[in-house]
Amino acid sequence: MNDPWLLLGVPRDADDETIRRAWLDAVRRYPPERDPARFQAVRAAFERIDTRRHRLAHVLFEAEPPDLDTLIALALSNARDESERKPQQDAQSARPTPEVLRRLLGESERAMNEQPVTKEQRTINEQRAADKP
Amino acid sequence: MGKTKAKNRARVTHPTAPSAVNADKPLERVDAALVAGRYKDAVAAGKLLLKQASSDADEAMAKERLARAYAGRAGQLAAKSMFVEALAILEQRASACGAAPPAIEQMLWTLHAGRPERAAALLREHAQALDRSGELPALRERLAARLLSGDELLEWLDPDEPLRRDHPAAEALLQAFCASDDFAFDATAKRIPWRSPYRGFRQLLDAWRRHADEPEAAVEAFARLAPSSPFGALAGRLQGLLEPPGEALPEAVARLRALDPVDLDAAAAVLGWPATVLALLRAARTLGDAANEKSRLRLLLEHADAFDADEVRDAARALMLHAPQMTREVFSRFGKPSAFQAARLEALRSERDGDESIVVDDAWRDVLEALENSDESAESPPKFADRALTRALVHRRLAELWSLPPLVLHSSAVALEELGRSLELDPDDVPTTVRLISMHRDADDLKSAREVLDAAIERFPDEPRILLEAVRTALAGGAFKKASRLAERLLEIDPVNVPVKTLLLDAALAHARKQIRASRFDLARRQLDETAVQVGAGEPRARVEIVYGLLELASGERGAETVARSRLRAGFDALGGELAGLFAVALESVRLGRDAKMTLTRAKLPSARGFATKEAVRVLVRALSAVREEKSSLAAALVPLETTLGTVAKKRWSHAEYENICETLLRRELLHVLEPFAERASRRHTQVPAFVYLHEYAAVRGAFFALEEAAIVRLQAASRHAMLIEDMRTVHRIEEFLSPPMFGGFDDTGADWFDEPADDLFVGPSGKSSPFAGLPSPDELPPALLELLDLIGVEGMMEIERAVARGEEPDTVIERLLGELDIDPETRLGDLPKGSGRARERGGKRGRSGRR
Repeated sequence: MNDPWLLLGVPRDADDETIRRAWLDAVRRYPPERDPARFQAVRAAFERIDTRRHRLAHVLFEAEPPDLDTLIALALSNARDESERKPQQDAQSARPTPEVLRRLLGESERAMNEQPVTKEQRTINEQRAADKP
Repeated sequence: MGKTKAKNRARVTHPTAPSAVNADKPLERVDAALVAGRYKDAVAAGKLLLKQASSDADEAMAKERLARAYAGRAGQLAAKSMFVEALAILEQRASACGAAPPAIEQMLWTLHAGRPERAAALLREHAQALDRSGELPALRERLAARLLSGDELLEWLDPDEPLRRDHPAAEALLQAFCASDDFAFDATAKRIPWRSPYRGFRQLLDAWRRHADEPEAAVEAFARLAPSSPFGALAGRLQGLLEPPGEALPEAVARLRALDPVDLDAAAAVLGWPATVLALLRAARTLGDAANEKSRLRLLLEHADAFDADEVRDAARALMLHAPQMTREVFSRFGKPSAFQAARLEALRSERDGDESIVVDDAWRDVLEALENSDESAESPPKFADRALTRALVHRRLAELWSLPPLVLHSSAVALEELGRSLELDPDDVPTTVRLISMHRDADDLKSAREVLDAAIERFPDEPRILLEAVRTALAGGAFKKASRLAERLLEIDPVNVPVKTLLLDAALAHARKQIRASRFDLARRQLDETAVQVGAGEPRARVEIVYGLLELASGERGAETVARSRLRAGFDALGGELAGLFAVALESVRLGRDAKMTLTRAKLPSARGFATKEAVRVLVRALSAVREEKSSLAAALVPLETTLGTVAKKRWSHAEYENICETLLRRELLHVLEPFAERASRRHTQVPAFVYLHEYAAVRGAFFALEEAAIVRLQAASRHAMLIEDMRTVHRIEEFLSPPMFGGFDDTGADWFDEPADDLFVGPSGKSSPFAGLPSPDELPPALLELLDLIGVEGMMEIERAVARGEEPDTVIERLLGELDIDPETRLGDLPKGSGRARERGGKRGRSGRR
């Protein structure tokens, strides 16, 4: 993902302080000793947009095209924003529709038909699963 | 081929299958097939076994095996949702083996096969037996899930059957959950008894609704549901689909991209994504990570509805730069960009395509012009509403452009001008201020450096970076005491400032040198004694020892030469000895205006010839990389080492080692030292175009006009090779080397305006067999040409080139341009007053660039 706003999880109009807080959160989440690659990525993202001057320069001169992860993240971010705009709902506590829930229940029950019928075969399958590295 | 594939598939599916089974022994075959899960084979072998049974015991044993084989086969078919076929197998099993069908499977498969009335009858028939065996609750849970998923079984169930009795409450619970009505949920949940088949469902929904606020408790609650129940199975699935609270987008993207298509659909449904997002995710999954810019742009255009309108437009434009063939589609979808945006995109494209610097320069100037005239608020959001800052940033970009090596012809002057304009528009930018000061200083324009510095200190009185520049500028001007004072002030503000400590040492040593040069040896000794106390041990102390040694050598006092040798030897040893140690002594000697070779001889230090090793050169290169010094001083300090370096250059170095050495020497502009290394590197690593460039560049000391035709051919071939292996730095370097901005590209087709010099304007030194033989040296341009440049600017020169490309005569174009400037074309340019700068005075676009 190569979009610094998405990497830090801040909106496009975030100010210096919001971005700094997001950066500190990210550092706590990805300390360099545990996840150096991610730490480097968020640090680079922070340095690209930490000031108004840098943000404008990034928008003005950035020529790196968005990668696939960035496009997906843009769409997800938009979906989350849309969801948050809806009354009494946010993306994290979204509930499925009754139809979706019925479908999921049906799928789960139907998937149970994949279990073996005979007890002997069940034992063999369990043994195989236990032997798997 | 088909058979081989089938064999492989069988091997993969049943890894434990014995490789060979005796066809004459059906018992062994059936047992092996049963263990391996090859039930179709087991049925065939079981039938054979039953046929061959010669006693009741054998028949019973064969029927038992066959019954297991049938059951396994029926299970396989049911797993593929072939329920009718599975039931048929159960019937065959009953007739062939006399085995009653397994009640639970028979009931569920009958239900799945679309016969709810028969399933209800089977439930009634087997309920008591299943209750006794303890299997009834599990069956009822599965049936509960079927009922909640909308199965028609409900109406066929007895009224007192718990599945029917508790169904209204379970259905109300489902509705309350989906409507996020927690009050109704709690009330309804109480109506579901402890032993109800819907109890697992209640637990599932209760855990789910707690997931947003109490994720850990929810996970524990999910885990309490038996995975063998449909509700437990769904709980397990949900844990992979639900977003952990506070999950960052990168994690969410990674998690979602790992989901298979079925779970992706489920996640979309669970999380309530719009259909547009799900469609995008499905398409992205198909596209994969290898998708190029064109594919990504197509994806974006096809799924634009999944994005925010401004973001999708900006992303499409960014991708369009890399997929120009889709420009029309992007414009048609999102409208044509504003003049400013169009100019910005063109400038980025120009940079990306590696256009010549002058073309990129033009493109960014168009951005500035468009910014002046356009109403950027027409595009939302108006990111560039702060026009002053936007313009400042573009000027900064131009400064960067003209600071890129190896641009020649006053490029640093343009960079300075652009940085100055940038600071006028954005005076609070400390890094740019620092850069401008250091560039003035590097250009030996201390007066301008001090002007900028004074204004900066007034604006940022306690800014360490500015104070550091003040120290450096004071040192550059020989104001050592002032530098020390400034350094001390800086250390008060920033006590751990390492660069200033180094500068402080530099200042002290520079002051000591000044005293030595003035033969004030006592003052120099006092300075060095004080410095020695301050710096402690290590490299700084070694530097003090070397200067002290040189002081003693210069003093000529009785016994001083012995002391000098002792101190110089101490400094030499402390710096690691060998070539790096010799270089350090030689460089200090040059700083004092002494001959390096003579100094090393007098110091009786070991000869450089004794250190002709690769390791010694590695250390020396590191030292060269670290030292800040004029190239002339470096070159003078390296004189005693040159023969040795030439010898070591012939040793076998790796590609990376040659690259490191050559790039360091190029950066330090030590082209005469670079030449033997680059020459050897280009011979030894013939497949590396960068070495060809370095060799040719060093051989002519960077003067493109001195290149012979054969060298140009080699460089052109190297450029093509570099292009093939995507070594764009070398491509760019060769292009800039062969075609400095004002002279056009080496691969231009057709005649350039300078190919046929007009009159005496373009008469230069002759004698070289080169396409540039008729051209003047960049550093020795004829005064007339310089004046023409001064009058019409680079823009004017470019205009001449464009006009010639259109077929006009150079003389005609020059006359026209001079006419526009009200200069009589008949007037010899040499007769004009010097530095008339008419184009600048005119203030128009043409004169804007000034002379580069």
